[in-house]
Amino acid sequence: MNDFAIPELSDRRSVKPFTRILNTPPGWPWDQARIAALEARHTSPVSGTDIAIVMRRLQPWGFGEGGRFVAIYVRDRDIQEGLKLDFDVGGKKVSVDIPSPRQKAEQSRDRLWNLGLIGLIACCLVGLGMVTLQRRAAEGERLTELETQMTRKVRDAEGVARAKADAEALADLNLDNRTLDNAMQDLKTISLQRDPSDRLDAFYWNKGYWAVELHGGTPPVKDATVPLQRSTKPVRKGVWLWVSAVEDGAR
Amino acid sequence: MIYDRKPASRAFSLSDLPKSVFVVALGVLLVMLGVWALSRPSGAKARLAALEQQADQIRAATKVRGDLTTYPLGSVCSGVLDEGFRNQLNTALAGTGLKISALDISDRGRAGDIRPLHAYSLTLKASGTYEQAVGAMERLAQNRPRVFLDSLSLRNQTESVDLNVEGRVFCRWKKQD
Repeated sequence: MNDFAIPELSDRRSVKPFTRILNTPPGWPWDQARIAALEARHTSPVSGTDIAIVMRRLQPWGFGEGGRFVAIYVRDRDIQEGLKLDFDVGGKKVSVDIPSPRQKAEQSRDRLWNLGLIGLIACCLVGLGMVTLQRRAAEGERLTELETQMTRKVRDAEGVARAKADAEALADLNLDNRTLDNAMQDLKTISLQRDPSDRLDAFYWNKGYWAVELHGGTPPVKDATVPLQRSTKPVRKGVWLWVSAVEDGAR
Repeated sequence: MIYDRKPASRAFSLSDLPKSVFVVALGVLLVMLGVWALSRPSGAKARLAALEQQADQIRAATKVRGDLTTYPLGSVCSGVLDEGFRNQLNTALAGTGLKISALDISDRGRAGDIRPLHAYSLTLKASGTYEQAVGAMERLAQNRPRVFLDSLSLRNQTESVDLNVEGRVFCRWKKQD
C-alpha cells in the first residue's frame, strides 16, 4: 500500500498505460505545464472518451531551460480505485500515484481544512499584530506624556533649587529682616501705639533698628517688651529722640 | 486479551516527539519575540534612560539647601539691572503720586565670597504726602527682585514728608561679569 491507500499494481489486474515524453520550450513553469498538457491532449495517440491523461514533470523547473514531462494515458475505469505506477523513462525510474476520485475528494477536503486553519492562524496573527500596534501607540503616547511631565518637573525643581541657592547666598550676607515690610511694620506699630497728641516729626530705620523724633515726653510705643532709649536732651524744643535698643542678635 | 502484569513503561525521549511539534514551538517563540519587539515604542530604552536621568536631576535639585520662607522665589534677579529696570521702577513709584527727586541704581559688583551675588545699590529721594510715601514704600516692598533695606528716613515737613531710602538689590553672579 502507498500513501493514498492505492492498491499496488501487483495486487490488481494488470494495467499497462501508454506513456509519452513531451518537451516544452523554456518558459514559466505553469506555461510549460499548460503547453505539455495541450500537446498531450491534441496529439493523443489513443482515442476514446474514457481516456484520462496524467501529466508529471520529469525534471525540476529551471530558468531558461526547457521542460520535460511524461504524459500517462490510462482508462478512467483503471483509476477508479486509484493507481500506483512505477516505470522507466530514459533509464530513470518514475513513480506516479494516481488517486481515485474519492481520494481526490478527501484530499480536497483536507486541503480545505488546512487552508481554513491557516486562514484562522493568519487572522489571529493579524489581530495580534493590530492589538500590539495599538498597545505600542498607547505606550508611546504615555511615554511622551511622561516626558512632558518630567521636563516640567525638572524645570520647576531646578527653579526651586536656584531660588534656594539664592536664598543661601542672601543668608550669607545677613539680610534677614532687612526688607521694607519690616520698616513699615515698625512704623505701623509706632503710629498705632504713640500718644495721638504727640506729633511724629521723623522716623528713621537703619539695618533693623529704628528711631523717632517725637513731640512730648511719652514713649512712642507702650509695649514694655520693646526696650527704648530716650536722648538725654531734646533734639529741638519739645522734640525727643527715641531709639529702639534691641539687643544684638534679636534682629 | 488479558494482561497479567502492568506493561513496562518506556522512558520519555524528545526524539519521540514529531518534528512538527518543534516547528510549532519555534514558530510560537518567534511570534512572541516579534510581538514583544513590536509592542515597544521606538527608542523606548533611550527615552526611559533619559527619564531616569531627569528623575536623578529632580532628586539632586531637592537636596539643595535654602530658606525660601525668608527669601522667597524672586528675591534675586537672574539677569542684570539696566536702565530699563530703573525707568520701570521710576514709573511705578511716580504712579503713587510721589515727587521723585532722585532714583539712582549703581553697580556695586560682587558681594559675598562662597556664594557670590551681584550687588546694586538703590537710592531714592522723594517727597509727597504721608499716604503717597507709604504707597511708594509698599510698591518698593513688592518689587522683584527684592529691595533689601539699609536705611530709611521719613521726615515730616510742614506740608509734606521727605522719604529717603537706601537699599540694595541683588542679581545672580555670572562668571563673565
